[in-house]
Amino acid sequence: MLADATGRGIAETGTTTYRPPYVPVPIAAFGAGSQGMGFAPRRLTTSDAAARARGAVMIETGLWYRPAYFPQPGETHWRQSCDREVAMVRGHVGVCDVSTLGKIDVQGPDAAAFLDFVYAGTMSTLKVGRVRYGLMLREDGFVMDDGTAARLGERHFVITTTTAAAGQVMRHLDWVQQGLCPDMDVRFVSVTEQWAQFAVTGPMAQALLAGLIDAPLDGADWPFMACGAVTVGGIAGRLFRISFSGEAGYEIAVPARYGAALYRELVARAEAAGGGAYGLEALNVMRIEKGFITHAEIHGRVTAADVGMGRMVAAGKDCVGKVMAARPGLTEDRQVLVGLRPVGVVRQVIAGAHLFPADGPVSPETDLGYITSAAYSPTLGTMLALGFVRGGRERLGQTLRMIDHMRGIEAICEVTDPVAYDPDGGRMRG
Amino acid sequence: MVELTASAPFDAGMERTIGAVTLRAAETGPVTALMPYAGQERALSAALERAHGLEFPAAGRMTSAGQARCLWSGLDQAMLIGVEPDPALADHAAVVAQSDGWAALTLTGDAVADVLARLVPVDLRPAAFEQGASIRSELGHMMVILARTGPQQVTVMGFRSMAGTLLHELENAMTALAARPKG
Repeated sequence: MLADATGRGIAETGTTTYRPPYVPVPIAAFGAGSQGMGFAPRRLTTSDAAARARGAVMIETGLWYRPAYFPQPGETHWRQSCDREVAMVRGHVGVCDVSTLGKIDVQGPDAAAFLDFVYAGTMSTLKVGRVRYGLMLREDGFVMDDGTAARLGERHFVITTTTAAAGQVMRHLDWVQQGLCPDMDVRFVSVTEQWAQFAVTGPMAQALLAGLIDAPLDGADWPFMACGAVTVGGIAGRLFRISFSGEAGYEIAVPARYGAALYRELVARAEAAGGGAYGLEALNVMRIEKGFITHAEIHGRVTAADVGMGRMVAAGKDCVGKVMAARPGLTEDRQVLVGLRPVGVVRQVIAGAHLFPADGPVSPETDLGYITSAAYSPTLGTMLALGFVRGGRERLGQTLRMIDHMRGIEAICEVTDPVAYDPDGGRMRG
Repeated sequence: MVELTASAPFDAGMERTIGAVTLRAAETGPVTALMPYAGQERALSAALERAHGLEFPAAGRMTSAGQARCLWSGLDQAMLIGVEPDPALADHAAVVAQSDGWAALTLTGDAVADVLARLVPVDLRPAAFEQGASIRSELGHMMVILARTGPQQVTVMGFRSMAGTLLHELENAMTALAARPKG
């Protein structure tokens, strides 16, 4: 086939080196005893039955099943549902099950020092009752995962990971503690399964939760990035004032046995306030509008500086990956995270498409970068994308040529700040 | 005030007998991860003894006293089951609630080891996995804790979110084993 494609003979092209298995292995052998759904475990959230009862279209994220969107009568295309859900969250209030994010309970005399070492940022200065965003680097200096660290006590933290990297982060922490920091007195265990956690997001989120939890929910006592214990119907839970959508938002956690009941209650109250349940599609649109990264961006080949978080690697301390992140080649002439929006005749931007100068030849040599995430923003009435471009922020305002070679689509787009919506964050901080 | 009702990973009283094995939903009561701090394992064990009448288990072991059980579940980690943990334990160990994270089942009968042999890469025959043994291993593609809780009984604990798959895998193995000709 290669000879055919390159117009050379088989002898010229050469044959592949033989290596085991010499005899074809039936695919069934790789499947072993697994049959049907037994091929991979199904992880279901406590809100699964309620979401399906509402007609949610489910999507697999890792082993988990999560609602992608909740079609309403009359909606025939996912975009209709998604656009409605985005407007609902931005205008009223939405509820989303976020239990699938990894949650790790970290305790011990050296808990803060340990987190300082595994996170690029500093966690030891975090006050009790506060949450901080954190970036974890791999040993080779590239970004591994992002999440939050909430300080519940002097020696007690709960950190979150992305859904996809929960297992990888747990394995990494085990390795760092046992291999790199055996003298640190710290213990941790996954509590992902223990807690059902729901995002309650939007301008009416505070009013909704204030009517639900057993104590007043005063904005002054619960500023942006606060966390603490609350009770819901007498059940001990936790409240985090964090947001992945750019709206004023909270995440409320209760022991998993109460997850199904709390989800029903939250959605019923949201619907009464003109809101309702939202799914991953709407979540994705909102985070693209806000320029928040996911594993589409932190795909394993980007540094903290590439995603605009170079300053988050604290200067005054060491951390996993810090030395290797300073290697030649990782610090200069990098492709850097930017926002993109179409400004030409073709109003489309596509994840996976590459970016070239507006004029001039299109070749691997003139390739400036690529798009990692794209979505239609109903809030701003345009398609938006996040991507990595050589020269990054120096190109703000420039126009580039986007080419999707696979689909044969071209568009002219403008390089923008990654944050397209509410750049000052006023809505989120409330 | 809102009232939140609890739901269990398995229907209460769920029981299935296929061939020579009976599978039942197990009510564990409270489950708590105990992780002794550096050099604190003996002190934790003493505190456990005082409060609950059992010791901190050695690797691969389970200790028990009345309703309380303590199952080894990994390096510097065991699960205390069946009792609310005494607050004094926190002086020596990280104490983390896990009651809602686990779905537990018991398998009882002559062929328990044969069923589990199809799913778990550990020798669970009574001679190798005797009373008081507890191990963390895989069942299919899932992480589980297994403990021998009777001469013909093994308790299986899996993640709550995967309870459906756990049940499905076990029933499949029980059905397949029961279909084999005797002899």
